[in-house]
Amino acid sequence: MWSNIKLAVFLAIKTILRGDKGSLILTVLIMLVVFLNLLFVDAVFKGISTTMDEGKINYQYGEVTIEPRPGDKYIKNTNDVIDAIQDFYYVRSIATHLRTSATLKNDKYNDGRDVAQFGAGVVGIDPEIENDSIDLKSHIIEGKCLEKGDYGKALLGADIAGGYGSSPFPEDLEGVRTGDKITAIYGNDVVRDYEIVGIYKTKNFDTDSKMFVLQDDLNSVLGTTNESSEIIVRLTDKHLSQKALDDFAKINLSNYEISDWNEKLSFGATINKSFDMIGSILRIIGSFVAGLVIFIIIFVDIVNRRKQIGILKAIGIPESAIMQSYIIRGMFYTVLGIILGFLLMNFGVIGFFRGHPIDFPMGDMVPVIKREALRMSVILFVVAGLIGSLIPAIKEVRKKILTLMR
Amino acid sequence: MEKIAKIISCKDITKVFDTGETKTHALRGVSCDIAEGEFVAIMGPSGSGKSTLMHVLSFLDRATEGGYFFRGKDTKDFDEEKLAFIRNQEIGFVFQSFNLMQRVSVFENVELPLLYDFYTKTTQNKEDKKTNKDRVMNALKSVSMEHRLHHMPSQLSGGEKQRVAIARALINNPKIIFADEPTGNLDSKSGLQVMHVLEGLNKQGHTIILVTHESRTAEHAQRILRIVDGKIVDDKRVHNQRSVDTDNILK
Repeated sequence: MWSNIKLAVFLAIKTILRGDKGSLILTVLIMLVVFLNLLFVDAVFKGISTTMDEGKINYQYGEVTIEPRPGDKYIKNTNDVIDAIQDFYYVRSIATHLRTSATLKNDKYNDGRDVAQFGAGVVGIDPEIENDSIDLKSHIIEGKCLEKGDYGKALLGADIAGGYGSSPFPEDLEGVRTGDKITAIYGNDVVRDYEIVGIYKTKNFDTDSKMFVLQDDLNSVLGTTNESSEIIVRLTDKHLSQKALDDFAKINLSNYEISDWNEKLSFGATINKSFDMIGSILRIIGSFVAGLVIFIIIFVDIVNRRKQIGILKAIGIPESAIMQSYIIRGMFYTVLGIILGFLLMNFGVIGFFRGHPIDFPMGDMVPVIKREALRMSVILFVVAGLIGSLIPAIKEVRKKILTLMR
Repeated sequence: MEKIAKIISCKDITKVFDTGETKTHALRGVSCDIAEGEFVAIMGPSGSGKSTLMHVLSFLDRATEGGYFFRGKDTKDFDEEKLAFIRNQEIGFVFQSFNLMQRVSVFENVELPLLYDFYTKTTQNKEDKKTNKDRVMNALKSVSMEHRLHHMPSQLSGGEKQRVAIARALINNPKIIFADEPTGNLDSKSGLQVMHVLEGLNKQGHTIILVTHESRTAEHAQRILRIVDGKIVDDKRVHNQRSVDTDNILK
């Protein structure tokens, strides 16, 4: 059947070049829009899940998290753990967190009449190394970041402070500002006052509902020394996390619970699965639409050129060459739609959203085209185009010469 | 006596058009032989089956029953590719409605049948392209249409269109040319020009099978097959074969 392919290519090129340019542009435009739509919906889903994942990695867990084993409260000898892992080439930075919880109170008029309170996580950090791991500095919306020596001072999440836009929590401290003092009542009945030096908002609600203080401050509350609740390890590439897990397992860190970002994103993974499923369904529907568009275009074209097909068959151009020429045309529209759709998506739509990210509650979202999704979309689109052009070509071209020439 | 080879031989050909509800018997047992180099006219009134017979003989359609031997070979087992090859290489068509491709030039219309040969070769070189161009030019010259090379069919008169169609039919130097009412849509002068070209082709050795309902046109042939109600009722030689007076058509 394919021995006539060169003839088919010639016929296809001639028909495309000699055909109506307006129809050609319209056809390619339709294919472009259908493919763009296919990519866009998927890219938005991927963008949302990536934003959520990146939020968790960047502001909460890092690529690898080392925690005490269940039953242990703290990681003992934190410095030894840091020494053991810091020389791996892919380790970018390490931060230690001491975590606890407290009831935070904001006595708005300092007279006890109107006190707002919120149960929040309190995290003790070393400001000198923290910003390399959990970048709060660039998310300060008021005031400044914690600095070395800021005893009795705290950095407060916008969702707790209140009055800084939407929050997932029904209650907050009702408008804490930089310079205000709040009281923290810890579980061990220790009470401390903190002056707020800054308010931050990362849009990761787990992070934005915390208060950060100096680790030394929290050590004095909890009575800890060289201990931490978690060690956040940032890698040069998140895809090296499995290698890190393997390497860390070899250097006797068996007393600790080590997990990578994949394990920490169980909630996100469920959403990702749902998004993947919805994306696949939309991809199939989109491809079906594309196939239908190609079918209609080729069918209408064939019906309009029936007599010409009859003439070609009458003068001895093989049926297979004519059929192939229509398939090639269908593929031409499809591939051009894919290329232009991809270029417009990549450089136009995503370029635009990079400059103007969509403001989602969980972060600033930029659509993301994943290679796997792109490959699947291209394959489905090509198959749809192939079927969409093959069916009318077979249906019509196989008709009797005299029927076609009538 | 020299034995002339039969190029077409058919026996008891029938053709029934079955629409599901009605069956129309277009050919009812047609048998005939046509020798190489003959100029045969198939004549008959409208609906007699003359075009159907031409369609069957030229492989545009298949007979319902009967035997059809082309150059001595039974065509029963010829598949679509084989039939396309024969239509391309051994047969030329001239239709009443010209059937030119509207969106391509005169040159490209004539070149079309060459494409099969050209593009099914493993390699195409410049020499082949030049040969093809020469062949198209020669074909157009033979019908005096070389001056309309780059015209589109819509820019030609009926007679010119038919001459282009003849050039296309000639391009592969076919053994047989089937002409279905070739003068039917033409004025008398253009009709004579077309018949003059067909006469010339026959003199060059081409077998011409002409379908017409006009006796005057049929008399340009050497032999007339009269067909009525799907049957050949008369098969006779033309004693006073007409020939186009070239002076007339040049006036």
